[in-house]
Amino acid sequence: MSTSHGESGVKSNRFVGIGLGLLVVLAAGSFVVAPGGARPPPVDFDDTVKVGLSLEERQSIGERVIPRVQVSYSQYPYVVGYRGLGQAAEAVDDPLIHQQFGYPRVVYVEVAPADVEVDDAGLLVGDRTNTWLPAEDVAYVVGSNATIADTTVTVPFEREADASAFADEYGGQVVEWSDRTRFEAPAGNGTTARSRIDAHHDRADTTVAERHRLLERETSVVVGANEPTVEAAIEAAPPNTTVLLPPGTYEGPIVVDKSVTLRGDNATIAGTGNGSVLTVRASDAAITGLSITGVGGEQEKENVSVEGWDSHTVEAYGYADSGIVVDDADRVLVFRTDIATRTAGITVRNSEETVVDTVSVSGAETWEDGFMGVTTIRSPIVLQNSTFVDGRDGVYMHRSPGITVRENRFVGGRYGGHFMYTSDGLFADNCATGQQYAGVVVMTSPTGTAISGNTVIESGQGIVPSGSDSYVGENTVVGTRQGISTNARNSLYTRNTVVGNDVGFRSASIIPTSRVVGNDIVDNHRPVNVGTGPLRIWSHDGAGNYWGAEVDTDREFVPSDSVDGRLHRDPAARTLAASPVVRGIRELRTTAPGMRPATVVDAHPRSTPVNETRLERGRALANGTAPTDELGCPA
Amino acid sequence: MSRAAAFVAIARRELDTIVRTRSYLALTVGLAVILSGIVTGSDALQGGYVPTAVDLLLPLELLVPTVSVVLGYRAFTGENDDLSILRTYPVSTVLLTVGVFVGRAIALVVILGVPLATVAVLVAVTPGVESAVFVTHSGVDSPALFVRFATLTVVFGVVVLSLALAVAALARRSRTALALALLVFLGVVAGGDLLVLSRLGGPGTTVDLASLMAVSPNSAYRGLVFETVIGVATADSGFANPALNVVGLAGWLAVGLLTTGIALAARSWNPQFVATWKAWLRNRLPTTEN
Repeated sequence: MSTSHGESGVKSNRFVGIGLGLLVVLAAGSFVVAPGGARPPPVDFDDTVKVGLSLEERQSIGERVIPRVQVSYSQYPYVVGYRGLGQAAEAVDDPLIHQQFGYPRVVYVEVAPADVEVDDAGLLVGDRTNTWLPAEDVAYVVGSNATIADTTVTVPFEREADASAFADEYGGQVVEWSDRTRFEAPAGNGTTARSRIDAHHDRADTTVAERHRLLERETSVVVGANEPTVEAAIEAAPPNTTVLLPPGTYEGPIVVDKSVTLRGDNATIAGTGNGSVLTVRASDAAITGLSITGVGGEQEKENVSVEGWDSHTVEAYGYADSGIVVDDADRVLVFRTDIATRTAGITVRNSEETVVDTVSVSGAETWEDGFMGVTTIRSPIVLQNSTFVDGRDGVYMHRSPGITVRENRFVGGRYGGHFMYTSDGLFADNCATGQQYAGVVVMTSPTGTAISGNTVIESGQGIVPSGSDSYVGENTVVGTRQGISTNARNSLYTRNTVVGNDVGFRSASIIPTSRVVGNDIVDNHRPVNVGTGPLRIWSHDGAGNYWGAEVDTDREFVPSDSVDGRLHRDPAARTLAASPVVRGIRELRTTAPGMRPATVVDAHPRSTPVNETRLERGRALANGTAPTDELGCPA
Repeated sequence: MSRAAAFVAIARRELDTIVRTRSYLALTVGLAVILSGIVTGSDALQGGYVPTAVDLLLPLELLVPTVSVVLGYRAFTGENDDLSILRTYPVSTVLLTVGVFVGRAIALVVILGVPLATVAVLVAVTPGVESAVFVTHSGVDSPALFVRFATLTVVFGVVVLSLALAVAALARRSRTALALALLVFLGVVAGGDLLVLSRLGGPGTTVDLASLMAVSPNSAYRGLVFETVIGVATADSGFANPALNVVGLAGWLAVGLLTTGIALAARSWNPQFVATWKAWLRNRLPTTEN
């Protein structure tokens, strides 16, 4: 060893030593620092993932004060914004939330202005403070007169003195964050929507029975025999009697401005091709046994002006040329009527307890040219036993809370059912087939929607809910590009049969707070497609979903996983799934979900289908062996 | 040559041996590829440092003992009759043992550290969950947690290395060394856990599982990762008894080094050692003469 070599050897030894020393310091340092110790600051509420209150509720609250909370969870990349303290309080103590989102690192509450008041509607009036304080530093008033959507709300204050003053004036007690179990109970989780279905049907049955009594009115005038025209006949008929139209074609447009029953006997009313054909302006009027043609082609009127925050929507959708218009009239019945239209079929505006029963609307061949089969504007009608072929949307519902849409057939449009600003609606036992976009879509985040017992076949998507506290159950979705999406939050998706779709379920909600259990999800090219967000756990209390006979029920099933997701179509996937590494990694992941996008876990996959009969029917529909009617709906 | 200089020279020689062996470079690159592949195959990179550590934990439990055993089991039985060469250094058995161990441990730090650092860089450059609509935060996730993970992994590797050196010291022939090395590997990967399992007994048995697991090297490592890396992000704890796990790992390290030292001593001093023992025994044995 030469001297110079020796020197460089010593030098490089020193480098190795220094490098090693640095590594040791780094390693030791990593155990000294406390990751996650720093509290993230509050963010702009608009930038949070928001939960609570439907869009309609928020519109009606307007600029008034909504108590708001924001929470950063340790394993969730977004800050969650809660409207209403009760919902936030429940979430931070929820074990499922903890499992999916991690623990709450910090909870900020926006305090109400010190001088906040309660108006006659029970709403909080004042200027929003945008002052966000840690939850434990805030004083809360529970049980006061302040409400939102008819529910008492907890009101947060920066100073206890202001809280006491508020409680003195509007009732209630001052409590601390640790007493948060006393905050108002948050909205339901889909079970309420489900439990309301029977009562909803009963109510609709009563309404239908009452409207059908309009068909029993005595005939007072026969068009052609007693009076020359339909108008003259209506003019001459006493209220609560029937005007009879013998076989033939009658000229429209016609206005029914008296509570009479217009009964056709193989009669057609033909419009001129301009404007609407039959307009009902009287409550308790009824129309039955007519065919309507010659509807105008205008979808949007220019001379209409409507008041209110939804004026644009109403103007755009509520005044299209229609076969029948029901305008500002309650308790109307439209029964056994066929409408051929290139625009809208039936438009119902501002009407209570109206029934549309056993009608048939045939629209424009391509949906882009056509319009809605039935449009309801602020009209919670009962729509049943009807058929909608082509056109744009089968039924378009705007601000019609509690609407009933049941046992209809929607064929070849854009959407079968289209909910807008409509809470507590019931969409049940319908069949939608060949819908370009979806069988049924719910927009604008309403609450309490129940979508039950429907069959969607060969459509873009099956069921696309939104909002919260919704129930999607007992539906059959076959042969769509995407079966059921779980956009609605705090909702229940159960007992659905999803067979032979490109994608079975789509987990799209960025904040997965819904329950997806007890579904039969079988023979879909991909069982589940997942959007960004944390881990989704699709099992509850030891019960999960049925994913097909190939799935090993002794272990948890990860339908979004590249291996599990192809078990049903590639036997080799079973071999790979049994690899110790694959099994081990999967096992480990669920112990620490972390902020992983794109993962759905079913901890308890079922070994048997939930509903064998419906699954068999679904499979038969998927491979074309099921008995169907002339429109392709299950017979 | 002072004792310190001799020690450094031994460690240096071991390190140089490894640096000169191309296959170790290939091993490092291969590990980096495997680890990167595992995490890119999943969504862990996007998830952050903790999910990445979670995904790597199980593969590393298998890979680290492999690397350590490979690095250690022929330290004294190579084709070049390494032990004889090492014996030419004027040092005690203790310094010889520690020198070889330190030299190879430094190599292990590099072989494991480079792939782990590669993964850390991948996490750093992979954009996390982002949204144009919502504000995002990183939650409880930090490079520090990954450094912890890497540190624990290297410590685990070093412990197994000491056991592999013991094998190399005990075995006179390469074939024996290979068999014993396999035994060490299986013992570390499965044996300890099987032992823990067997101690659990029926549902009525009361066992302090957290303490029991400290005895199994890989369980001790896993427990420390759960407790100090993953548990921090989920605010869960009770996965392990960290202090006891450290003691457990230190214990295995001591076992490995002591066995190495004693075996080396026995080999070098063999004739004299045996003679001494014989004499000692002879003196104490009862005389058969009567």
